[in-house]
Amino acid sequence: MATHSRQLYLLLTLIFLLSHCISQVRPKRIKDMIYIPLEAQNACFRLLNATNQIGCSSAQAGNTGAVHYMQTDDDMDFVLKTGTTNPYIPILDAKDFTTDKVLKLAKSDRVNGIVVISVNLTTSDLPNGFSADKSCPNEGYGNHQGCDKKWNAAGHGMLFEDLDIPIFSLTAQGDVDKILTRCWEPFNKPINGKARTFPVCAVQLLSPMFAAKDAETCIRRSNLINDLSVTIYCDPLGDKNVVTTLKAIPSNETRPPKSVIVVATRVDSFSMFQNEFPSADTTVTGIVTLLATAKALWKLQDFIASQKSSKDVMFAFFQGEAFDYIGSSRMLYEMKKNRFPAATGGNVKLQTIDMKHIAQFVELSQVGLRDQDSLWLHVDPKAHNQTVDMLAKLKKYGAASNTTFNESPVADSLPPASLQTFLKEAGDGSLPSFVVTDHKEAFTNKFYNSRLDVASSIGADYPKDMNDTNEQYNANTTQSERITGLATALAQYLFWAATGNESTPEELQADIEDVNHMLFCFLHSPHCELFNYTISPDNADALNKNKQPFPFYVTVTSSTNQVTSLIQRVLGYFTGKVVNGSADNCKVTDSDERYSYMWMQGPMKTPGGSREAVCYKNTVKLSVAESPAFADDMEDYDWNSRKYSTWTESRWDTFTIRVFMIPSKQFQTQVLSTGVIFLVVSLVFMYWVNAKADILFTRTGVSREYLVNPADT
Amino acid sequence: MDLAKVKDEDKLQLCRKYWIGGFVFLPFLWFVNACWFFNEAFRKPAYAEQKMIRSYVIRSMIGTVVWVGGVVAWVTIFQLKRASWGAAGDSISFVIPKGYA
Repeated sequence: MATHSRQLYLLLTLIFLLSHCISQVRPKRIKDMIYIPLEAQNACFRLLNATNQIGCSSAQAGNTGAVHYMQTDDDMDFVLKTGTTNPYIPILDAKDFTTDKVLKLAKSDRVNGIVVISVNLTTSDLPNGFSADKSCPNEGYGNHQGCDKKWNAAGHGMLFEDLDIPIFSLTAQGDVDKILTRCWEPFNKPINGKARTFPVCAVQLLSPMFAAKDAETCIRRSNLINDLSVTIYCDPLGDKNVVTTLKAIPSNETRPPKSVIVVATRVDSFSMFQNEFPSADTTVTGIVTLLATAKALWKLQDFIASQKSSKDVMFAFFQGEAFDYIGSSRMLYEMKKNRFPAATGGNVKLQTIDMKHIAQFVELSQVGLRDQDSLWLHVDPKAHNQTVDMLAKLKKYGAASNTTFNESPVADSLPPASLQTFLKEAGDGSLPSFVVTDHKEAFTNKFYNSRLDVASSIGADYPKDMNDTNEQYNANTTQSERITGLATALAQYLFWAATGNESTPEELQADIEDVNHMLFCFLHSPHCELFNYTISPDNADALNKNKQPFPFYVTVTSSTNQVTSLIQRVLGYFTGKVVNGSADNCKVTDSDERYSYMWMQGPMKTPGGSREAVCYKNTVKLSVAESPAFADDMEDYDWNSRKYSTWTESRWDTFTIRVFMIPSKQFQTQVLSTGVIFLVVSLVFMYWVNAKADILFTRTGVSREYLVNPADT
Repeated sequence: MDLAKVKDEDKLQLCRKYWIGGFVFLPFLWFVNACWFFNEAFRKPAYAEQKMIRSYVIRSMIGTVVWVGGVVAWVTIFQLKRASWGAAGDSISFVIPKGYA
């Protein structure tokens, strides 16, 4: 009995010690010992239109290749011809990420993918410019067919190539260190000019796309239920347009023909990589100018609205324009169906607007980088006679607020603009219209639709020694001064166009502080006072989690983009009136659908303290911005008609990038064949043992009882 | 079932049932028939029913070969042409691969 309890005690002690030891051990999975994962989520993905697939995709199991950091032309030769540890995945600096180099690499069988370093991008990385778009953006979908004017000279259509390899962009310094100092330098970098041999360090890129071939195919497949489940392969690109009308004419009053002035700009841009859609000159300058103009013009809203004969002014922010004019073509489609703006059936609605109501169309395109310090007015040549007075007025108002306008000498075509959609519908010369841009001929913006279209490229960055975000938020920049001048002139112009009356710059002065705030919020950080003021309390947490500016890519239609919502909110704040309300009753209660009500976080009670939410009543609306090709009531759309945009985005599961060591093919073959030989030998051996079992294992007649411990009995 | 314990006339009945059963799109039944009765048909010493069994076995073999040929031809054509058939190809596919036309 005594011995038993001692054994038990020893056993318990042993268990205790063992468990203590195990808790000290940090078990490491084999996966973690093999791979170093990178954080990057910025991969190039696949888009599809009626005829093509473009962009990038890895194989379904990922693409692997030896890391090679490209620094000289010799490296190009090494990767494409002489290197022996192929296939490769070259690592490019941002300056080398040019269309010709990427295409050369992508077309080679020896290249399995590309990684580009995009840490702290500045425009000086690519002095000759870079644009992922074509030299004729939206070619074939505008009023003018063909590509007789190369507007986007820096564009060589990189995104519009079917690259068929994965491409990742590294924006975190930590990722770059992992791939260069822990992978390239110790294992792959040539020593004294001598190339390394296996084992070498490799990188695996995983960005497999679901969709293939073209939009028609992937949409059709998404609608099939073949294997008892639905797989979505791709989704149409699209979002919402933001619109507001100054006079808010109700449905029981008539809207005379030629009585609406449309003033528009575009919201979206694109670039090569997920999460990298800055769009400073491409669209932010236009968005900020238009918002500032709206606020300025609304100072005299009561006066304009009270004039019986005055024209209405509609502000429109178009989404999806970078992909063959999605937003504007859908708005026009809705207009033709006589259901724009959309209503849900209240007693009083906004009077509908149709093509025949549009008196003139003014568009702001890129306005940040002024050619010869002037803005340029592009006019549809066929409508030129009708615009003479308009342009003269705008020039006059510009002069009063330090803004120069000139007429573009390009006689036969307009730059890519939403106006193209409306001109196509209006017919020759019947729509007085002009586009305000910063370029006399080809774009001055060398980074149109690219990830280098950042704040510093338009002079909206801050002095190096200004690090306080509060200071930055309120700082005047060269760009904010220019935008303020333009917005003031435009507001005066619109006032004249609507009422025929003159105004002074003081009456309609745009507020430079608002412009500063908007530029900071859209280009530097969305975690700013303006956005916090205007956003609904429900979305405050989501907003403040974002440290990076929101992306300007249109994405798919399933949800409203943050940028769209913020434009809607800021416009509602700028043009709205505070009304009494609470979170529950800040909505349409009198069935007057002309108005929207926005519950905003409102001002801070004390600096840095809690906020006092307010209700804003305004006429801001969202309207659908999905291509008519995908509209519910569109039947039998001819996919090849090029009438409407057909762009869709492929779905994907994951973007993964990781580095690890790979041995030579020869070594891998050796390991495999050794295993196979061992298997065969052991099978033969076991067969032999089995066959000779009688000889090998003689029965001695020992009973199992022998094995029982005699001490226990 | 051990054929050694079955009477000769029952063997013939069994072989015949398998041959007929194969006609309802069950080529595996013919294949099994051909394998199972191969010894009975060709390798056993002659007995009364053997001639008919042999006939059924040969017919089952031919049926199997025709089926295999047909299936292989269809699979080959389907795999090569599915993408170019477009909508028709998709509608007769059970699994549509991701990332390919």
